[in-house]
Parts: sequence; C-alpha cells; structure tokens
Amino acid sequence: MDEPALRIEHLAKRFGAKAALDDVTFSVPRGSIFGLLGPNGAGKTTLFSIAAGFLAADGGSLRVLGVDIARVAELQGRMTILPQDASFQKNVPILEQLVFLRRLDGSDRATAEKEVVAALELVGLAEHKKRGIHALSHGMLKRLGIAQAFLGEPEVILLDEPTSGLDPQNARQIRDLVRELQRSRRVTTVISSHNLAEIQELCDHVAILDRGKVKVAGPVADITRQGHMVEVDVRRPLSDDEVSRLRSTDGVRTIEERGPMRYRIHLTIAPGAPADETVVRVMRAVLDLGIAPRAMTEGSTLEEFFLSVTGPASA
Amino acid sequence: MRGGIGLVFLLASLTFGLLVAHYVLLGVEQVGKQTPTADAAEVLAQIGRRAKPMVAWVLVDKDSAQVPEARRAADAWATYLIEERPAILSAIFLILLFGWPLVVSFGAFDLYSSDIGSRQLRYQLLRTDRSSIFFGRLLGMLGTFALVLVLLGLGVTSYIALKLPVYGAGPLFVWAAYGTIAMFCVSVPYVALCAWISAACRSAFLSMTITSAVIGGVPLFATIVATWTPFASWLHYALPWPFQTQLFHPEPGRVALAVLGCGLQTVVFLWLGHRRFTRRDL
Repeated sequence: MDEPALRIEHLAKRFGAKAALDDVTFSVPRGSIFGLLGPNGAGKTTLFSIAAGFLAADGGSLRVLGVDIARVAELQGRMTILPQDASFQKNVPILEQLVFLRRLDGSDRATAEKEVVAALELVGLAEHKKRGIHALSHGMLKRLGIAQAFLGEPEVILLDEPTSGLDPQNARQIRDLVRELQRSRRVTTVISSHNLAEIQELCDHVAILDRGKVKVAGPVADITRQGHMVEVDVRRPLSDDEVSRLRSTDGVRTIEERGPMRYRIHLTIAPGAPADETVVRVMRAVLDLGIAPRAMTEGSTLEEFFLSVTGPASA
Repeated sequence: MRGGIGLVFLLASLTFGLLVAHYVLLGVEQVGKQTPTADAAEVLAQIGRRAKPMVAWVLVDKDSAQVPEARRAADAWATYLIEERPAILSAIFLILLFGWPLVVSFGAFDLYSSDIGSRQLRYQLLRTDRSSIFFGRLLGMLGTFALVLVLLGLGVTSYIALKLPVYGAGPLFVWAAYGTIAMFCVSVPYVALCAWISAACRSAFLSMTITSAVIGGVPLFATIVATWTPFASWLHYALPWPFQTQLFHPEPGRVALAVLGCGLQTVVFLWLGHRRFTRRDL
C-alpha cells in the first residue's frame, strides 16, 4: 500500500498560551484532492505552514511523501505551496520572479521561462508578465501565487484559500486545473477553503478542523452520508396535506422546504442500521402521492455537516 | 539595487568617502595658502610633521600608551603611513575606517529581516534550503560591498590624483588597492554581525536600530564599564574595533593577526546567524 502523501500524527503547535493545533492526526491519500475545512482560527494555515516547513511543530510528526518535515529540503521540487499571506517582491517583473523561483529548483533559464509563460497563460496573466506586482489587483496576485504553485512537476500541492478573491470563471479554471493534474499526473492537492460547495464539488477527501482539533476526516462521500436525509426535487409544490402525509411515513423525522419545489426530508435511522430501507419507503410515499421526483440526493451537504460539527456561529 | 535601497547605499557610501577626501584635501589646500611659496610636496611634508603625533596617538594601544616602547612603535607606524605611503590616502583610510562600520550597518541591516516580516521568503523555502538562502544573500551582500569599495577606492584615488598630483600613479593606486582590500576585510565581520541580527528580526527598522546600536554601542559600553571593571575592556574584542587599524600596520604579522581576528569574528557571527535562520519560524 502507498505511503500517504501526508501523514500527520499527534501534531501540536502553540502560539503563547493559545493552542493553534492540538493532537491533530489524519492522513492525506496519494493522488487525492483533499479539502481542509475549518472556521477562521481553526488552525488550517498553521497546519499548511508546518507542512511546508515555514513553522516548526511543538510536538507530533508530519511526513510528506514519506519524508519527515524536519528534512524539508529533501522535498525540494516535489512539493509546492500557495501560501495565504506571503508576498512577492516589489519592483521586479512577475516573469523574472517566477523564473527565479523555478531556477531555484534547478531548471535552466530557457526551460524555466517557457514553463513560467505557460503557467501565466494558464491563470490569465501572460499579458502582465513584464509588470511588477504593484500593477496587479488582489485577484491577479492570487492567480500569480497559483501559477507559482503549479510550476515544475510537484507531487504534492498545498493551496491555502486558492479561489478566495477570484471571479467565478477563474475559480472554475483553477478547479479544472487541479482535477486535470490529479487525472494526468496523480498529483495530490490539499486545499483549504471556506467555500464548502467548492470543496464538496472538488475534493474526494476532507478533514474538518475546529479550534486546533480534528473533528472528522475521511472520504467526502462517507462524511456526507452520515447526514441521514434525502433531498427531493418535484415538479410542483406539495400541498400542506401532502407534506403531512409524507411526515407520517415511518422513519421520517421532519420535512424542510428548501425552495418552491425542493424538500429536504430528515430521517430517523437507528445507530448502525442501513438507511436504504427508510429511503426506499420515503420514495414510495412520494410516488404514492402521484408525484414523480425530478431528482433525489441522499445524505447531507458538506456545509450542513460542517455546521453540525463546528456549530452555526463558526460558519 | 532593484529595490532602490542598494542604490541609495552606493550613493551614500561614495558621498561619505568623497566628502572625507574633500575635507582632507581642503585642509591641505588651506595650509598651502598660508605658505604660498612652498610647493605641494613641501606643504604635505609640513602637514605630515604636524599630524604625526596625532596619528601616533590614534594608533597607539591605549592600555599601554604610557609605555615608551609602545609609543615608539606607534611613532614608527605613523611614520610608515605618512612618509612611506601616500599620506593623504592613509589619512583618508584611517578616517573612513572609523565611520565605515556604521556605514556597513546601514547597508546590511536588511539582509533578511523585512523579507521575514513580509513572508517573501515563503515562496523560496520549498524550492531551496534555508542555508542556501542565508549564504546566497550574504554572498550577494558581500559582492555589493566589494563593488562599492572598488568604486569608492577608484573615486577617492582619482579625486586625489586630479586635485593634488604630487604622488606617482603607481604608489597611489597600489596603496589604494591595498586600502580597499583592507576595508573589505573589515567589512566582512560587520556584515556577518548584521546577518545574525537581521536573521533574528522580523522588522527592518528593529534590525537597523539594533545593528547600529551594537556596532556603535559596544566600544562605548566597554569603555564606560572598564572604568569600574578593567576586565570589561575585553568587550572591545567582541567587534573588530580594537584591531581593525592593524590592517594598515607595516609588519605583515600584525596584519595577519588582524585578518585572523576578522575571520574568527566572521565565523562566530555567521554560525550564530545561520543557526537562528535555519531554526526560526519564517
């Protein structure tokens, strides 16, 4: 079995009296797109900073591609990062800055320049390559950081809030790029984001951090399935009587109206029991009302699960 | 250079050096005006005779200034600088040597600190190791200092050659080259000190304040404390101040000891700076 891309065990980091990370343990499978979720101050950026060797942990261990992070120099060229709060040099054209960074990996100038231009084209900054960072907006700086992270042939990419501040088209482009890298080169990407819908769409595994502790970690499908609910899209709004009849179905706890023709049905499932029977029973009840569902989703959204483990105030 | 700070430093260094040269030559010109019949060489000889006791006082080891042998040695050293070497250039180098450590602190205080503060280094940390960043920047800074000193040496020497053409070009440029190398040798431990302090700070202003305070304050502190505890005079040796003038000594052995002192201090400061830089949160 493959050594995980990241193996984090009992990791701890304190800033003064505050525990930024407290006994954090989880693994990031190789070739996965891994989402790191958590409210502000949960410890996501601290975890990224330790994984990249910017900060030293106070306890525990973190291995990247089997290499202890204390020997981070051995990961040169194998891992890249988009740090959340790093800045580029002023007064130096962005092309020169990225070429310099790529050359630090050992690439020659001509190859580095070719790769950098391609990366800048990928994030839509090629026409600004001769400019300094003072001429770039916040979103453009973010894209520049992403271009930097995609330089070379990394096996692991850490992206701290990659799409915050980007317009929808650019955010979509970045997500497509991450998927493409996973598909074509089996690159492991770890993404922290507040955009839970994005994480659910993009990631196959997640970990949720809250106040420095891991609340849950695992495949997205397993986590959302714990929600015990179905969401049904119907062709017409249900009457109050129809909602009451559905609510009286065995196993149905509550019904929540989510839109003019969308209903969320929360189920009561005994611990350890499969949800399938109850879901089938509910669907039969819907059909018995003479309504053909247009779509049905089983399990909760990541957002609901996130709120249920971190509390609504943290969202 | 690209950020502009290097250019400011280059201009400031050249201005400092040329101002020192200008005022030294101004003094010579004023003496020349008082004795209009004498030629420039005679004027210089006259100034040399007047200046020699003061130069000897500057050069003598202050702890043994009352020992006749030490005073004789200082006199011989002053004679070497004033009579055997181009005296004007010797005077300029001695004056520069007293101000140069502070100039170094203004040039090298920001080796790492502001990039640590702004987290600019984070983009480099996964692409190279910390030691390479530490020593790469240090070598770049030393290269800048070498360039500045060469330009300074050339500027000052050309200025003297034009304003006071009494020295032959050969002895003048040979002594200028020697002085430039000596100044560079003195710069290295101060740059290493700046590297240590800069690697420990997140703010360029804090780094500048500490480097200036340490470079200027250590000899002052040692002198004051030594009035109560003579043992404290050893504190002078924390920096090259007490032996940096020995680089202009006529005896090669004394020069070698001064170079060794500069080298040892450089190693200590770099070890401390490298240790801090490779272990700290960046």
